[in-house]
Amino acid sequence: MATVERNTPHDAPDPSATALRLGLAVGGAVFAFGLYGLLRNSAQTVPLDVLKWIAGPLILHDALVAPAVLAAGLVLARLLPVAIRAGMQATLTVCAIVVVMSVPVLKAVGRRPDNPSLLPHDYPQNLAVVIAVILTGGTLLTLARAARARRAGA
Amino acid sequence: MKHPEDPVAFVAKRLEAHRPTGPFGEGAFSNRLHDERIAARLGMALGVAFVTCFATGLASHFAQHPLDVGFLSTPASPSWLYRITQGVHVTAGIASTPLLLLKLWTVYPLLFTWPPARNAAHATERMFVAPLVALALFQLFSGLANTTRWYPWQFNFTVTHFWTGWMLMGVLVIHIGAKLTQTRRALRTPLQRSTDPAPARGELSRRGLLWTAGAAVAAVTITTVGQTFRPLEGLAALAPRVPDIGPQGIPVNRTANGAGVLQTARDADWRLTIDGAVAQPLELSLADLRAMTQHEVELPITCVEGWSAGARWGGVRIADLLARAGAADGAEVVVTSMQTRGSYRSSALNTIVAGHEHTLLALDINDEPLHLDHGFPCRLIAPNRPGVLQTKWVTTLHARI
Repeated sequence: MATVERNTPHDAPDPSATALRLGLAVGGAVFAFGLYGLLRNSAQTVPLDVLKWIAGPLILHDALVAPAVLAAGLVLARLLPVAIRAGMQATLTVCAIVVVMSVPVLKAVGRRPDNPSLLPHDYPQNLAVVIAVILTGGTLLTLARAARARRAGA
Repeated sequence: MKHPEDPVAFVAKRLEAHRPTGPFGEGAFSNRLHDERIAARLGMALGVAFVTCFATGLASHFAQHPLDVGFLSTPASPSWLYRITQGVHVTAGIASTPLLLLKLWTVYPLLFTWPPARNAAHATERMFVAPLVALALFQLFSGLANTTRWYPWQFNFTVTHFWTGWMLMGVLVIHIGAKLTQTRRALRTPLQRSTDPAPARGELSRRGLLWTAGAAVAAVTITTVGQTFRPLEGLAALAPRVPDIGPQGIPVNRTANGAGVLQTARDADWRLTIDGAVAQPLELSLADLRAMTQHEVELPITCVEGWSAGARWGGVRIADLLARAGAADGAEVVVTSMQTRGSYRSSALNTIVAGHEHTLLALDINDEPLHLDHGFPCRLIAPNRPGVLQTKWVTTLHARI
């Protein structure tokens, strides 16, 4: 069995002791160098603030985002007809990623009245167009696949 | 148990009988896409992207904070080098974000592994997963926010992003070492073996998920890469910059207003001072500069935030100005701006760049006098150089040996 069989702790092979030790030695040194630099430049790096922004997204993701995405996946699987389910799941996944990554330009916090070259687009409108293109393309591909599967099955 | 003496294994064995329910329960995550073959393939791509980001990030750091030690000095040519490395840096960061999100989805069930660690080696591996995920999310979020100049935090972005980059590389190396055996097994295993049940009707296949990842990477890349890759400018619908939007068709990072030079830059009494290690300190007016031999160069203005735009610059060679003031051979130059705000008031030119024929004190951009926001009356433009070091609203050239 090569799946990520969680809860079957005997499945995943133990790391090679050499690779683990080598990784710890090299990676540990690199990490320590970074941490040292971060702390040594604390006037600029504000380590407590960094800690907040490092731990925050992790907790946000693991406690809220991931369960919400899994739940949404379950709901979608119920709502979508079998013939187009996989294709539309893939399409909507791409859409969701594009939307999440567009949050900074949608917020456009950095926009300044004296600098029209910064964040020059109408991002809500552009995002709507991009999503429409992905949805259209994904739906067409999904329908084409479904039609092919029906022909093959018939 | 392989290591009967291992205390972690000892505890794990006793915990096994007390499995909690909920997400820890058997079969709590049924989707077959939570699979090490997917995790390993996404992980390989992520590893390549992260190492690329780190290498190009180092290049950018040393371009901004030159070591100036022999061969480590930032070279003046090729002039487009920084444009490429910084474009790749931001593009690879954007492209790796969908991979990270999908990989986290794939391995999320492992968060609820029971027993939490089966032996000391497993405990070591798991201990570094949280910092790895946290630092990866932090690097990608802070970098993406910076491209839009969104700073919801207190720390200085460039300094912090640099040091957390080292920390991320460190835990990544540890993770690769700990996962090497499993990753090699997973990569050797085909996505769909003859022994695997065929995907049920309506079920996304493992290959399908990887195609989804590819499509997501393509979507976020195509809609942003035009900010630095001109042929795709028309598709850059979600890019925070467009290479031809701005005064005189070139974007601006710091405006004259933002730099606090609206009055001083337009002062008719403005003079360029050339001092320091020179035989004859000079004070030159704009007319004096115009009267000197004018040169033209095609050079990009490249911002650390990932956009770049090429332009044709006209003006006086720094080398000519140094020669006119009788600066010593091999002098370095500190270029200082009249701006009162911002951390990039001055920048240094090493010997190679100061003497380079393409290093200009530019007066014109695309055959027009510089717009106030581009640094009127004159700005520095030099090859292979981050935009923040192309000092605008120049008042002083200070030669030093």
